[in-house]
Amino acid sequence: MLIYLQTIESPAEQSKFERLYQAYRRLMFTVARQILPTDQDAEDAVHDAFVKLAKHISKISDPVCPKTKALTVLVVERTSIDLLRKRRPTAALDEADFGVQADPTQATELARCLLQLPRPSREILLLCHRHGYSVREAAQLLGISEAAARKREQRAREQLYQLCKEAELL
Amino acid sequence: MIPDELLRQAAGEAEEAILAGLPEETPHTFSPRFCRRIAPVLRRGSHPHRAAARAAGLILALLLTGFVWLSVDTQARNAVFTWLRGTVDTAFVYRFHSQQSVQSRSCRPGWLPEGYREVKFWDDDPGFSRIYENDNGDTIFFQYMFGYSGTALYISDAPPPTSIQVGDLTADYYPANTEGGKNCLVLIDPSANILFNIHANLTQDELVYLAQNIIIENK
Repeated sequence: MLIYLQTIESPAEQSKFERLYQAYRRLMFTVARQILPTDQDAEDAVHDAFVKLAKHISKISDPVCPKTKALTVLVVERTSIDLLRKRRPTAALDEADFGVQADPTQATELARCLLQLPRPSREILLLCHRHGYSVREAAQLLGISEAAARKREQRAREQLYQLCKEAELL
Repeated sequence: MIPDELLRQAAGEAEEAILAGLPEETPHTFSPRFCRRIAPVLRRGSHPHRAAARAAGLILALLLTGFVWLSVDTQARNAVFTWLRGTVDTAFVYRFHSQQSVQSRSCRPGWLPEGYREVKFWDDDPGFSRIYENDNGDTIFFQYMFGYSGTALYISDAPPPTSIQVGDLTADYYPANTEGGKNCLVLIDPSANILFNIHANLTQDELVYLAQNIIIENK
């Protein structure tokens, strides 16, 4: 027996969601498979990531564009890492070892500062300040409580501030 | 504190670097299991013209395609403000239809079998979940959803439910269809427009008793 909660609202959003699905499902699977040990686990992560994205589809203006592509990767990475933790509850996992490794060669100094942040800090800043999600929405996409997300966002800003100061950007 | 504008710029530039590091897509044929699971999420997107129907027309269409009313009073039907149960392919679907949303409240079981304690609360408004666990690792999944336009609960890979009484209300009971699987009870409180989904290794009687003793509190 499989049970799902679906919360897609308008016809435009439904169409948007399907375009997003068609465009990025294979990329999302590729990213998930680099983190998870089996195809089935990776498919589970892709499914769960799409369920999360469906709930927040209204914030996506263009379903097929680099920005949305990056969002789908972020969500499926987080979902995959969380699933891996469930599968290996006793193993120590360094999140820096998993997921897409950003290419820093063409990154600006400012971008490098943000990329140096621990993955959870980076994720919350990208969701809130790049994709325009509220802290509450970001919490739902990341699978954490709103309070935890709020603290994380605050801490991430402070961490980034320190890194920018050290890089003499501020 | 880092200025917002600088933060947005950093996020945009960092994202470009992340995109530059993306792996090449590997060919993959998604399994039938995945396709079956993702279908309910996509289904309405495949037929946007159907979803475009206005409430009254939509209800007529749903009735014509096999949807049935589920224990709602006349006033609620007239107001087009209710949960509907129907079937889509092999899935049973509970969908809320209204132009307005229902205010969220806090719900919890007023009774639990001995030894169970709450281990997780998940606020995913309009759906909320509480998970209870005993020392043997048995879990009770207690989910409640408030009427919110576009919200739907899908139950697939399940045999047709049987109607059972929970106090004055009629609930749907889905017995486990796999060895060691969980029984499921879906109950709609039409006065509060809340849908409850209880999924556990409990007997039908225990599920009914649990559902009869749900506490609904104002937030």
